Amino acid sequence: MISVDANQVMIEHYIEIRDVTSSEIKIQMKQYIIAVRGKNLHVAAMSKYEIFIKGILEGVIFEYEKETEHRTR
Amino acid sequence: MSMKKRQNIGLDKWQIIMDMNEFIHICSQRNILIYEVHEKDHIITFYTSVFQRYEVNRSFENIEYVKTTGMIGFLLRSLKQPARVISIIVSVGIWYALSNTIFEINIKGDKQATSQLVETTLQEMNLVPPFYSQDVQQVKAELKKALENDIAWLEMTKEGSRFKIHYTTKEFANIEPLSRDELIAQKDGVIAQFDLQHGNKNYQLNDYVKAGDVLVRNILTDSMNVDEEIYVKGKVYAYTWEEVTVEMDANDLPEAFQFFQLLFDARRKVSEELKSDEKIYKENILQFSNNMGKISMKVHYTLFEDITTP
Repeated sequence: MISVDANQVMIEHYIEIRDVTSSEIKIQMKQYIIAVRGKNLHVAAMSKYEIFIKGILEGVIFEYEKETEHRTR
Repeated sequence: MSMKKRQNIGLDKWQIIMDMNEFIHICSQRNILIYEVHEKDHIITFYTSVFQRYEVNRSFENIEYVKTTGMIGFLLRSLKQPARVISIIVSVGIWYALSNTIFEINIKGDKQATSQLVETTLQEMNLVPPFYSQDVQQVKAELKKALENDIAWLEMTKEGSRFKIHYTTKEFANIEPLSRDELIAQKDGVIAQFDLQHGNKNYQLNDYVKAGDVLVRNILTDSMNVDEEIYVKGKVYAYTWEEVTVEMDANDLPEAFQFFQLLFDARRKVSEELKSDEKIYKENILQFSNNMGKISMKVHYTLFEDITTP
């Protein structure tokens, strides 16, 4: 479940936070990865089940690992 | 809840030097709820709930506690100052003592004498305000037991620092022993009304009676001409007569004032011996004169009164 508003993103039921920088935050979901890109990104709140990210958003990208692997082969 | 509100209530602010990914990973693993995570020059600052302070300290080795925000922070800082702690303890103590002290007892009931009795009983029970509040139900039970012969119903409630007592007095029927004494006229008069519970009437209404006549007898003759002694109880009202003369010194008041002043004097004089169920039936002014500096008035009264009692 993902909710996007002006300069803030709420992601629920994530598996883990994979990478956190001020320009990109990658979140592992059950079947894909959500990459939140932008400037001055920071974690505004984080619990076991949800993460709330604030900053200047430039994009929210869904990455499917299995498909990428399949294409590489 | 917004971050601003959370901060106003109270959050712990921390800072730590470590890799952001590792930090996020640990927080996620240890189920630490974090807010406003910022990284600057490899220093991560963040906020957590005050209740997670122990978990945060346990999870990160070199973490530095910065401050606690909001009301909780104010309270925690206050508790570190002995004067404030003492003042809080004293305040709580005073509040507790005052809220458990009874300063007033309100007694409401139908008789002043019984209210006084309740007050005296409370004093005997050592319940004189101010006193330490006791169980209302227990006090009520003790009071009821102490006043069981005087009070029919009693309710006791506590309102703040006040005991409220409401009661109704026990009523006792006055049983007068019946007598067989005959009712005898004490004055001359014309019978106006019989108010009898027991007895044998000797006269009828409108009969003229003289002082000393037996009005109600204690003997009843049955159909076999056998006399039977009976009880006598009641009153016999009659129209009686009385002449009242009143006088006063002559003065400059108008005659009407003088007239009414003497009339009221006469009424007061004749009413002095009348009981609550007796009254002036008629009033005839016989004379109103001014002689030798004295103003006098003669009034003839017809009274409605019980002639059986002197």
